[in-house]
Amino acid sequence: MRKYGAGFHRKLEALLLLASGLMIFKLYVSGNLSHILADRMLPFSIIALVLFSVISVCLFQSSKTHISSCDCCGCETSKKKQVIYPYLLFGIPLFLGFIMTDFSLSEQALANKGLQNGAFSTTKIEEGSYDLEKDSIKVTDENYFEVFNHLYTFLDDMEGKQISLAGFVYREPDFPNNQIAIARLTMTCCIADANVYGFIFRGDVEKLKTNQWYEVQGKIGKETYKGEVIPVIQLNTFNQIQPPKEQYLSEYTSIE
Amino acid sequence: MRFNSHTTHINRRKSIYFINLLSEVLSIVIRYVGNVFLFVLALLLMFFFFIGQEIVDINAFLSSRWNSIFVVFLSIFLEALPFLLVGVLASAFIQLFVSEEMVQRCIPKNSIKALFFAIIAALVTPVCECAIIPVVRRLIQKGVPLHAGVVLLVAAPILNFIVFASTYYAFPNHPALFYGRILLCVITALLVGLFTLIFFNGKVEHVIHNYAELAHSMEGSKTSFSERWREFIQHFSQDFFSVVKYFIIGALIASCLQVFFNRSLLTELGEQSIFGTAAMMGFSYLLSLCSEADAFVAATFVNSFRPEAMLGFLVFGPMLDLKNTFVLFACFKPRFVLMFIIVVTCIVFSLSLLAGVIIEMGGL
Repeated sequence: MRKYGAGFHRKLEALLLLASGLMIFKLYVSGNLSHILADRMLPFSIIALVLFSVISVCLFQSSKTHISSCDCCGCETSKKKQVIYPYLLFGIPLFLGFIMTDFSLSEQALANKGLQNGAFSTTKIEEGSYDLEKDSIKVTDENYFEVFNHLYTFLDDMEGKQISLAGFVYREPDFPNNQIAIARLTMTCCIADANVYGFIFRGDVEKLKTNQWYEVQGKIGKETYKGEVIPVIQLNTFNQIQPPKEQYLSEYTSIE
Repeated sequence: MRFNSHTTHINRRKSIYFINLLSEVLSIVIRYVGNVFLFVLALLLMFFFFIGQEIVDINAFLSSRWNSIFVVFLSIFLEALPFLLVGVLASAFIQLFVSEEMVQRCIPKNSIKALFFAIIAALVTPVCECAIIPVVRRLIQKGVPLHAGVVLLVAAPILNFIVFASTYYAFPNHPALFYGRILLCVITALLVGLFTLIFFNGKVEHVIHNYAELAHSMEGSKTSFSERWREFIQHFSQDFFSVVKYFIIGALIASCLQVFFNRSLLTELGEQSIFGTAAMMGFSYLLSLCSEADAFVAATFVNSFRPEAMLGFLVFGPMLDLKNTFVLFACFKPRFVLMFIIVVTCIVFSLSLLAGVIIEMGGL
């Protein structure tokens, strides 16, 4: 136990706790934390950051005097031979957190999640909100789910209208060449529970690159796909844009 | 070469002397090796903190697929970290500041009453599945009856108001799923509790490592605050690292599956009652989502799966999942964990099928 000098393991743990605090800090300051965690989870991370720093300092202080009682109280580790390699495991997330720069999911990963089809079940459907009665509809972050639901439930009324929206290009392996979806991701807690929502577009879409962000404009039509009538938008114009700051939509806020 | 006995003797003495000296030097070096190692590690940490992304170009040697795996892994890890932290802090707190007499006074003597008491406790404990395991282990060490602890373990992740809210919002048009999730959770918890009461009654030493020694940890406790504080902080860090290392293994495997598994394969099973339920339960086990978020993922399947499969997903996932299983093995004895997994799986599976029949008949 004393092989590496008094309190070696406690000091190592203190260092690792400090490192996790620093990792959260770095991710938070660079804005990458909000790419992998939903906004409502961020305060918890900040609390963890503070706790990690405080505990790390306290642990380092207390490691100088090894507690005698610990030998009798049977802490899980004191009985076994103390080894360092379990701490290497803790190094994996730390290492990744410090060096990773690209916090987006690859196209294969998204294609495995699959596109949401059918109306999003969470919002109660209200007929004819003002914006939706106009002949051209602009989809924003705020009305995204409203338009999405409306399109699936009142497709006959919506047919022939102009629609414009922004999103990234999403393709599945079985999509024909002239079909893409302009999609958005939602996140409730973390990127592991992300869902893909998208509008199906048809037309001359081969030039649009997968996972790139575009602002597109088109005319709403309908088609029968696997026995269901779904909205399909005929692509008119598109231009490439930078990904927005808020890449993720929240299924939570769409309810409130 | 020739040696006479005299020189051999001297040589042996010399070598013994050398060995002694060497071991002396080594022990001094080793004592400082620890500190030197820590110092180097701290420097490395600073280095990575400031210019980590510049010195290692991760995109150069990672395919986009592996990058996605690490993104998901990091996100699961960072999401759960605050809750693990709070769970272990609570467990260290209980270890040092809650006495066995206090526990005895609070918990009803009657075993059946204790079961219901645990359900209420689960309702007011606002923690999800990551945080509850170390807490339950510590509570059992402090003398909480085993079956009550198990009820808390099963019920706490689902029975809290955040989960109620997210389930309600994810299925506004399917109230049966909302009520079914809560009801099934309570019934499962009670059944698992009863099972533990029958088969593991009073055999706590079969469940937790080092139970006999741990039971007396309060004896000879010191009154000095600084002493207690030091003990608290060191307990915390030992517990935290013993739980986190298993959690990391679980999260790594779960993130691989998240990225590689094609969800559209599942929908082919949607129409089948038994296979669909089994598939959705397995799916929720592998995904290892937080119980607060899994309802929204489940909502993506609601059109293609039968209600019993949905309930299987919603009830089983929070109770058991891949990352949790590793944490369970870290905290409890393997035999108990295996029993726990088998019992929970069987009960949730049969209850989901039963609930499916009831919903079909228009009961809810």
